[in-house]
Amino acid sequence: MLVVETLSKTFGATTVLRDFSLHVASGAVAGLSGAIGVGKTTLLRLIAGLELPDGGRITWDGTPWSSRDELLPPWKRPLAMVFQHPTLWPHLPVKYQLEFVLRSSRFTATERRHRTRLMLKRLALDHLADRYPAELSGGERQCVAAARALVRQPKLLLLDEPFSHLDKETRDGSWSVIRECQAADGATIIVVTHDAAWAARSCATLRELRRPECTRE
Amino acid sequence: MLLLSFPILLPTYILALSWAVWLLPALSLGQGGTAFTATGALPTLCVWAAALYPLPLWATFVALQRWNEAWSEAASVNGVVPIWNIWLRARYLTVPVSAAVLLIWLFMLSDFAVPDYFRVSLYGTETFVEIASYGNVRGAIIASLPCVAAAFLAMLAIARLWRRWQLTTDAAERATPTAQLSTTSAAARNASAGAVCIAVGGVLLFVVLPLITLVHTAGEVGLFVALWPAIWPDGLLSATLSLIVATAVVLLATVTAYVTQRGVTRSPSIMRAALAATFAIPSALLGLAGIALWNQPGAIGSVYTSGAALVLLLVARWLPLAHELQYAGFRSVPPQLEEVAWTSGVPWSQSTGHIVLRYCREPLLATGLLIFILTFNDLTLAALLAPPGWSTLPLRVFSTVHYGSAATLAATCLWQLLFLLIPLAALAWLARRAGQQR
Repeated sequence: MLVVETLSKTFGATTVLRDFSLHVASGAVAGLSGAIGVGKTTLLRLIAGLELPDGGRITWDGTPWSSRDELLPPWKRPLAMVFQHPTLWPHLPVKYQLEFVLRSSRFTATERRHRTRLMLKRLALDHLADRYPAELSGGERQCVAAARALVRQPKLLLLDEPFSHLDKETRDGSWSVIRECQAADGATIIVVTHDAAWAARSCATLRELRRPECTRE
Repeated sequence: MLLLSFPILLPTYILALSWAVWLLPALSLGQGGTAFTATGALPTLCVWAAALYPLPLWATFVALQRWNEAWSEAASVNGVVPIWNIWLRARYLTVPVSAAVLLIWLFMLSDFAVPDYFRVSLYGTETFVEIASYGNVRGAIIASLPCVAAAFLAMLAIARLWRRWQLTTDAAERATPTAQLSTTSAAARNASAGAVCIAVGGVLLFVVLPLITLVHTAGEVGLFVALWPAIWPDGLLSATLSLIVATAVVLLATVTAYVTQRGVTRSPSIMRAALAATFAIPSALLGLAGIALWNQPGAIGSVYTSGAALVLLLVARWLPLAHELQYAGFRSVPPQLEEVAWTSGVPWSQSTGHIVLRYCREPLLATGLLIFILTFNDLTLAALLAPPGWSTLPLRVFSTVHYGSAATLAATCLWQLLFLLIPLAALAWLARRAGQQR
C-alpha cells in the first residue's frame, strides 16, 4: 500500500503541494486529475524519488521511501514511471531500451532478450525493435516508453499523462495492455491525466488536485 | 574549461621544444633538435597527446551538454542502478569521442614538425624530405598515397559515426535542464571536482611547466626585446594571413553549412562528402598538389608568387572543419523559428540574419577563432607554399630550430605565443563586455 502523508513541496516562492495526503491500496488503479500547474507531475516525481519533499512522508508497505531527511533512491524502489514526454534514450534502439532496464535485475542475457521480445510483441511493437527513437512517431515513442516500464514487472506503475500523444484507438489499446499486465502482476497504478472523463471511466478511484489551498477529495 | 583547452592554442612544435628543454636540460636547443633517434616515438606521442587532447575533451563536453537529465531520471525510475547509468552515458559518448580520436589521427598524419624534431621517420617527415631536400614532387606524392587512402577510410568512418550521432540527437529531444537527483548530485559533484583537479594538474605538469622552462631558457628580457625588430614583420604577416583565411573560411562555411543543413541544395550529402574528402588529404600532399599546379612560369605562376596559392589552400584545408562546426550550430536552431518568421511576412534574408545568425553567434565566433589559431600555427603549408621573401612566425621558429641558438629559439617561440594571446585576450574582453551589456 502506498501512503502519502501531509506532503509539502515548494519551489522557491511557489508552494506546489501543501499537506497533501493519499492512500492507494495494493493492486488498485488510482487516477489523479486537475488543471495545469496544480502539482500532479510533482506528486509523481516525489513518489518516484526524483524530488525531496519539504515536509510529510511517503511509505510503501510500511517501508519509508521519502521524507524531509531521508530518501530511498528511485532505483531501489519497485516502481516504474512513464513520463509525459516519452523520454527514450536517443542512442539506443528500441529493443535495447527494454533490455537495458533489465540489466539491473537478476535476469540472464537470454531471459532479457526473451522478455523484451515478448513485451514488444504484446504491445505490437516488435516490428520497431531495431529502430532508434528518432525514427519513431510520437505515439510509437510513448508506447515504447510504456513497454519499457512494464517489462520489469514493477509493483507500482506511475503514468504521467501517458496517452497525451496517442489517438483514441491506440490509447484504448495501450491501456488495455497495461491493465492486463497489472492484472497479471498485481501492480498498483497511479495515472495522472487532465482528462477527468477518461479517468472516471478507467480508474477505480479518482482524486482531483486543486491549488494547494483547496485540495479536495 | 578555458585552462583545460589551453593546449590547443599551442602549436605542437612549440610544445615539443618546451618538452625537450624541460626533460633534457643538458641538451642544447636548436642545431637540428635533440638526439632522441632511438626513443623519439615516445616523446612524439606524448607531445601530440598533450597538444590534441582538447579535441576529445570538447567532443565530450558538447555531447554531455546535449545530455538530458530526464534520460538519467528515466533510467533511475525504471530500476537502473547508478553504475549502469554511468554506462548509459559512456555509450552515448562513444560516437563523438571516436570521431575526435579519428580527427586526432588525421592531424597527426599531417604533422611533420614534431616527428622531425624528435628525429622519428614517419610519413609526414619522409614526404617533406622528398620535396624539401630532393625536389621530388612525384616521389613524394607516390610515397604518400597509402596514407591518403588510410585517411580517406578514416574520413568514411567519421562520416558513418556522424550519421549515427545525428540519429541519436534529434532536435525534438534536445536537452532541457531538470532538477538533479539530490541523492546522486553530491557524489557526482565530488567525482567531477576530482576529475577537474587531475586534469588541471596534468595541464600544469605537461603544458605550463615546460613553457615556464622555455621562459627560463630564453634568459634575459634584453634578448627577448632585441628580437622584436626581426619578429614583428613575420608576426604581422602571420596575423594578416590568419585573419584573411579565418574570415574567408567562416563566410564560406556559413553558406555551405546553411545550404546543407537546411536542405537548400539537392544533394547535401555529396557536398558534405566532398568537403570531408578534402580534409582527409594531409597538408603535405595538399601543399605538393599546390606546387605542382601553380609553381609554373607565366600567369599561373603569379598565383604562387603572390601568396594567393597559400591562402587558397589554407582555406581548402580548414573549410571542412569550419563547415562541420557551423553545421552543428545551424542544427541547434530549430527550423520552426525561421518558418514562424516566414509565415509572419519576414523575408528570408531578414530571418536568416536576425534569427539564425543571431542564435549562431557563438559558434561563428568560436569557428573563426579556431581557424585563426590553426592558420597562425600552420607550418606545413607555409613551408611548402610561402612565396619567395615570405616568412611567417612558424617558419621563423622552424628555421631557428636548425640554425639558431637555444635562447633565440625559446624567445621566438614565446613571441609566437604572445602574438596569439593578444587577439585572444582582446576577444575575451569584448565577449565579457558584450555579456555585461546584455
